[in-house]
Amino acid sequence: MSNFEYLQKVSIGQYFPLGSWLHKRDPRMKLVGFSFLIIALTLSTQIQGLMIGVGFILLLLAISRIPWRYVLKGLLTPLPFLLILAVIQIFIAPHIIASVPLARIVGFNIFPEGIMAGFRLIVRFCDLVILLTISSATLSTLEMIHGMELLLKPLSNIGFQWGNTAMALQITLRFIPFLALNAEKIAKAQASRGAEWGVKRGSLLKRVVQVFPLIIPLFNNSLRQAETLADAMLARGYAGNTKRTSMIEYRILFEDWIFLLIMTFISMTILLIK
Amino acid sequence: MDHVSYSYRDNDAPSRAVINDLSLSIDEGEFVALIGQNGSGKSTLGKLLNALIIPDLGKVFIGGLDTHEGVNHPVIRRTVGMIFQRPQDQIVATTVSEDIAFGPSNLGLPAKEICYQVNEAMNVTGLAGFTDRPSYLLSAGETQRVALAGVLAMRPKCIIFDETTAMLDPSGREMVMEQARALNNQGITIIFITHLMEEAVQAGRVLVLFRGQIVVDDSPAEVFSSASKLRSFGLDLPPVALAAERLRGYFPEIPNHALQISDLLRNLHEYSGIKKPNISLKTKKKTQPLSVEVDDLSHVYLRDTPLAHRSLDHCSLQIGEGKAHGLIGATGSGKSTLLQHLNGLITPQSGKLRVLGQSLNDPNLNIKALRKSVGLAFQQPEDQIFEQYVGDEIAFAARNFAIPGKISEIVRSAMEAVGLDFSAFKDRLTSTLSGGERRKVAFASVLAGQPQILLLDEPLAGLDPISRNEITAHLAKLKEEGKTLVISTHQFEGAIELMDEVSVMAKGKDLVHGTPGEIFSDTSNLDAAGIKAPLIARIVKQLCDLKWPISTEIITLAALESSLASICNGEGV
Repeated sequence: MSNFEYLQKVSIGQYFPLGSWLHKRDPRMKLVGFSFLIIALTLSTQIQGLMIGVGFILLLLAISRIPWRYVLKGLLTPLPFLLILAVIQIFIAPHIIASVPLARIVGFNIFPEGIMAGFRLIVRFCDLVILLTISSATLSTLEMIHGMELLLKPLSNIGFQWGNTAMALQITLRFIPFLALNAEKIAKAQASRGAEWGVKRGSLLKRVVQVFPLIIPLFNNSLRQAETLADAMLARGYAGNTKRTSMIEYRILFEDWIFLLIMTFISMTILLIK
Repeated sequence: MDHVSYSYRDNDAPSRAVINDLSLSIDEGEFVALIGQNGSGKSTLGKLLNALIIPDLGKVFIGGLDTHEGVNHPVIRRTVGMIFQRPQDQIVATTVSEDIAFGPSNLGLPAKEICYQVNEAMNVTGLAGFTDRPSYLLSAGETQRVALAGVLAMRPKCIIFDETTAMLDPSGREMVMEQARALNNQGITIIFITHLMEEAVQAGRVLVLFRGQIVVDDSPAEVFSSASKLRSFGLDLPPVALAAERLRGYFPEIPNHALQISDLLRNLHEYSGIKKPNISLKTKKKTQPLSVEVDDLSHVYLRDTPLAHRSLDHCSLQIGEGKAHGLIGATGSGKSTLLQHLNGLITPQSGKLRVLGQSLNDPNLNIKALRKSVGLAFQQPEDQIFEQYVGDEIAFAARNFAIPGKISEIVRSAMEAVGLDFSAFKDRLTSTLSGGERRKVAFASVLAGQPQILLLDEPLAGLDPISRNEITAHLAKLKEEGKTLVISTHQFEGAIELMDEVSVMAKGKDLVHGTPGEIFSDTSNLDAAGIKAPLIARIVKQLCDLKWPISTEIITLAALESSLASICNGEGV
C-alpha cells in the first residue's frame, strides 16, 4: 500500500457513477429524503429506532450497489474515536435512581443505562457514517448544486442570489479531491528530496509537526491553481452578473415521490417508535 | 494588436516587460503557429487576445472590438477560446459533461441547445461515453480533450492552443493537431503556441516571438530556411529539416526546405552500388552489476474502491549500473508509477524490487538513505516545486541530505548545469517562472541532492530546442560521471542518443527490452505500444527498403551520416 494515497482513506464525499435506482432519483427528492433520515437518526432517542435505521440503511446500500468493503473501510477510520466516546458514555450517562449498578470499575458504577447509551452512540454514528457515504456516492456534487438551486429558487423573490453561491460551492467541492491530490504530490516531492514523509510512523506530535511544511506550499499551489482557474472561467465567458442556464432540466417522476414517501415514513418511524 | 506593451507587476520585484511594443494582425480562418524560447511571452500574448489581460500601452482589437472596453468582453471571449498550458487547471465542474457545459451555460443558452453542443463537442474530441466521469480522475490526454471540448462547445471563431500538446504522447499530439486542422478547415482561426518545430511546420503562418516582440512573421518554408537566424532566437530547425540538410550531400534530390517527412522519404533514391549484405552493428553484451531489478511488479491505484485502476501489471526489468535506460510508452502505460516505485514513494503491492542492492520490499529499509541516492524529477514540475523562492527550492535536497560543501555553491552548480543564471534566478519567485523555466528549476533541485541514480519523468517536455540540447548535453555528462539514468519519455527524439537500453511499456506491462537500435528498428513493438518510430529509424528503414547496405539499428543522425559516408567512399558512388 502506498503511504501517499490520501484519496483512498476518505470514503465520505466521493461520488460513484454506478447508475443504480438510487442514483437515478431526482436530486431534490434525494436532498430532502436524505436530510429527513439524517435528522431522524441524529435526534432519535430509542435504540429500536436506530436499529430500524441500520436495517434500512443496509437496504439502501444494497440498492446503491456501493461495494460493502469500501463502506467498511470508511467506518474503520473513525472507529477508535467512537470506541473512546462510547466508553466515556458508559461511565457518565445519567441513570435513574432506582437502577442497580452492574459492576464497579475504578470507582465508577456501571449502570445498564450507561451501556445502552454507549451502544446507542456507536449504532448512531455507524448509521450516520454509512448514510453520508451513500448519499455522497449517489448524489453528485452537480446534482446537489442543481437540487439546492431548484429548492431555493423561491427565495430569489426575496432577493437571495443563489447563482453565485452555487458557483462558489461547486468550485469548492471540485477543489477537495484536488487538494488531496496536491497534498499527495507535495508530500511526494518533499519526501523524494529527503523530507521525513512516509519514512516511519513517529509519535502523534511528530506526525502533526510533519504536516506544517505541507500546509504553506499547499496553499501556495492551490492559490496559483485558483488563479489559473479564474482565468479559465473568465475565458469561457463566466461573469458573476450574467444569467446562467443549465444543461439538465429535472423532472420529478412518480418513482421519485415513492422514494420520498418511503424516506419520510422511515424517518418518522425512527423518530417516533417507542 | 496595435503597438501593445504589457508587463507583469510583482510587489517586490521590478516589473518585466513581457510584451514590448508589439503590432500584429491575424485574419479570420488563418492557422498561425506561435513559437519562441521559454519565457518569451507566448502565453501572455494569448491572454491579451482573450481579454484576460488588458495591455498597458496600445490596443487589442478582436473582430473590431477593443479589449479595453469591459462591455465587449463577453463577445470577445465567446469569439476567442483559449486552452491553457495545464488543462487540469481549467476544469470547473466535477463531471466531464457538466464541465463542457460550463461555457454554453454562461452564454445563457436553453438546456436543449447546451445538451446538443456538449454532445457534439464530446463526439468531435472522442469523449463519447465520458459523460459522468469524475473530472479529477482523468489521464493527462483525457483532461486535454475535456478542455478542448469545453472551448468547442462555445463555438468560438478562434481558438488559441497554449502549448496544449506538451504533456501528450505522439499519438495524442497528432490527434490535437488533426483536430486543430479540421477546425481550421471549418473556417475557425487557430493560434497554435508550441515548442515543437515539427508542429509549427504544419501551420500556414509562423510567428517567432523573441523578448516580447514578433521578430519573424512568414510562411513555415521561409521561417525554417535559415537555421542560424532561428538559433539566434533560441530556436532550431525541425528534426526533418535538420536531417534533410545533412543528407542532401548523399541524396541531392531532397528539396531545399524539406519540412515534411514525406518530402524526405519520397526523395531517397535506390542504392546503385555493388550489392552487399547489410552491415550489422555488433552489440557487446556483458554481464554487469545492476542498479535496479524489477521483478513481477504490479500496482493498483485506489485499491478496493470502485475507482480502482491498475497501473502496473506484472512488470519486470533490469537496469545496469551507469547505464541510461529509457522507458518508452504512451501516456497511461505505467511509466510514472514505475519511477515512483524506484525511490520508495510507492511501496510494492506485489512483486519484488531491488534498487542499489537494497530490497524495497523490506519494511525496515532506510528509505531516506535510499532516496538520497535515487533522485526523482517529476513529470510535471508544477507538482514538484513547493518553495516560494527558486534558491530555497534547489537547496531543499542539499539541506535535507546534508550534502557536504557550501549550500550556495551546490545550488549555483546545480543551476548552471541546467542553464539557469545563479544571480538572476536565485531570488525569483517560483510562481513567476515560465513553464520551461520551472522544468529547469525542478531538474536543478534534484541535481542538488547529488543522487547516484536519476529518475527523470519526461525531462524534455515543454522546453525550447536550445534548452532541450542543454539538458541533453548535461545528462550525457552525468552518464559519463557514472550515474545511472532512468528516463521515462514519449518525446524520445531528443533523448535517444543518450540511451543504452530501452524498455517499451504498454498498459502497465513491459513489452520488450533491448538497445535503442533493436527497439526502434522493429516497428511492430512500437505499434503495439501506441508510439511512433523516431524519424531516423524511419529514414533508415526506407533506405534499407531501397537496398542500401546499412544497418537497421542506426538511430542517430550522426551514425547514419558516417555510415553513408563509408559506403559512398568505399564504393565511389
